[in-house]
Amino acid sequence: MGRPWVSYSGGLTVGQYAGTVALRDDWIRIAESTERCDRPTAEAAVRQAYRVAGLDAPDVIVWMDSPLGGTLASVVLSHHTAPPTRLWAEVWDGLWDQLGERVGPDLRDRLTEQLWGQLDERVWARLPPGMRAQTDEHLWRRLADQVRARLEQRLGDRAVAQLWNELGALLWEPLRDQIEFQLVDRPGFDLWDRLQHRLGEQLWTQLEGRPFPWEHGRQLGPWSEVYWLVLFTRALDIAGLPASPRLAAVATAVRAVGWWWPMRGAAVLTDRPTALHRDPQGRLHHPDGPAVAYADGYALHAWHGTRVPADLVTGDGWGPHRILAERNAEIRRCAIERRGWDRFVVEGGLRQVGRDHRDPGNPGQVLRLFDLPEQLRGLYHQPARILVVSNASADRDGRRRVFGLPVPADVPDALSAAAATFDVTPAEYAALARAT
Amino acid sequence: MAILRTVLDRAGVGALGVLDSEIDVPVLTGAQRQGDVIVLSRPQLAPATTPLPASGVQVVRAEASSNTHTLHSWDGTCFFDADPTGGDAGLTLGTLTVPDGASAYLVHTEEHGANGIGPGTYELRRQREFAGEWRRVAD
Repeated sequence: MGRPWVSYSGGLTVGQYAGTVALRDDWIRIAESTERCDRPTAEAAVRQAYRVAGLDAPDVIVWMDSPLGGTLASVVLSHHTAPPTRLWAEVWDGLWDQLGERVGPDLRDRLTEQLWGQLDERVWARLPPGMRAQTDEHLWRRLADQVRARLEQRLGDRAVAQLWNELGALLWEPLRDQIEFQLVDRPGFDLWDRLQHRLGEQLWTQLEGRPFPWEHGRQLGPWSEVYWLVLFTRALDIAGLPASPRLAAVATAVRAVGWWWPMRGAAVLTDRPTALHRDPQGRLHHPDGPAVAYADGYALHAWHGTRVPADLVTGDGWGPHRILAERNAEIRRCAIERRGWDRFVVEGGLRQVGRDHRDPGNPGQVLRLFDLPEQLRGLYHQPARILVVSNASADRDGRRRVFGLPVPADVPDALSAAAATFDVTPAEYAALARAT
Repeated sequence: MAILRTVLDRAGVGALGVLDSEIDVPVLTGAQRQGDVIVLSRPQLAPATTPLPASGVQVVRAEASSNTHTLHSWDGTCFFDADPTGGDAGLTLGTLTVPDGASAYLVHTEEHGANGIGPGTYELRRQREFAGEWRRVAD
């Protein structure tokens, strides 16, 4: 039984559906933007979000160029004291070492110079003593609870659950799978978790008598918040509830900035990436450089959605020795694909199974089957052989592409392997009249 | 039979870089392959009943928007029933029926050019690879 005064009683209308898709696509554009932030507009939007939430706008705004820079700035702002305590000095030394190991001394020095260049005595004097409390609780988390409560009050738990399902079906894959899960650099952010582990909990307890900042304060950003922003905004509208000014203010700020860290009295804002590349399936990918790059030099490298070391996708990539020495099977597979199976079967000394077989319908080209060497047995979850095939037509650049396709290890010869990739009998595959 | 340029023009696909656009595209009734799509003669299947629209139909969902396989009718109307279930192995794209007197062209918008298909009923399939389990080859 629906309630007559409510605009949602299960099942989105055509208009509600279209409105959701339009807002979703608008946010995808924002999340994938590589435009420089308009900094005055961004700062004004962040200050407004504080005010609408009933908080004092921050006096100090620090800008960094990347999420890594932003993380560094947020940790320093929440823990630095002037003059520094002995404990903080130890923590800073630990941070310095970890950063150097993780991203190299050049980027570390750039990040720290950029940060300390903005933090002079005057700035420290303006920071309130209790500024360590981070405010994302007020700005965002409690807001999320409020919105949900309003919806449940209006529609009832069951209708809200149904609305969530309906909106989730439209939003989850493009906004969470494609944006948050693909783009958020968890390895970069876990630097601070590792640091905490290394320095020991005791130190942090002494330092502040509270858990590590990462546990209770966190960043906001278009990549992590986009799903919830669209979901809440649409849900309120569909339920016939008035728009939430607080939600709108946070959304406006998230639109205008990359990652940001709201704290009491201060906010750390970061600019957007300078480049972002995906493959046609939407996975983070760049074959010859960073898949995501930031102005300070921080970058992520990815091969069809798998994070890989920078040198795997720069220059000549990994050679056979480096590939065989890699312990992570997924990364090893990426490195081989980058090098090309046609090269790797020769360099890696893969043993050919049977002879070359003419490629049916593809005159002049052959099918070749190879066994994986001992070191690569774990490349796939099940024992596999590699079928090496050539395209029947050249690419636009005139080169003929050569592929390596894994097939089950019990496939006896190259023709059977090619047939198995189309689930046809070897006889039917052998009778192919033409391939293009 | 038509030459490749005529087929591509009618399919609304621009000129190709490396392929010789004056080559003949043979119309065949046997099995053919276009990259990772295979056309298999299946006279025992029930004929398809959905007419191909004049603009053609995309047989591979546009994972790669710039790289798709499309089917077009020639000298008559062909029929294509898409199979969203993928059939037993998850590879089946659908059933194509080319009536007598007509032909169909499978056109690839990038490097593979076009394949001409003569009268008969066919199954179109995608290629797969075995990465611990079988999965479709990403186009």
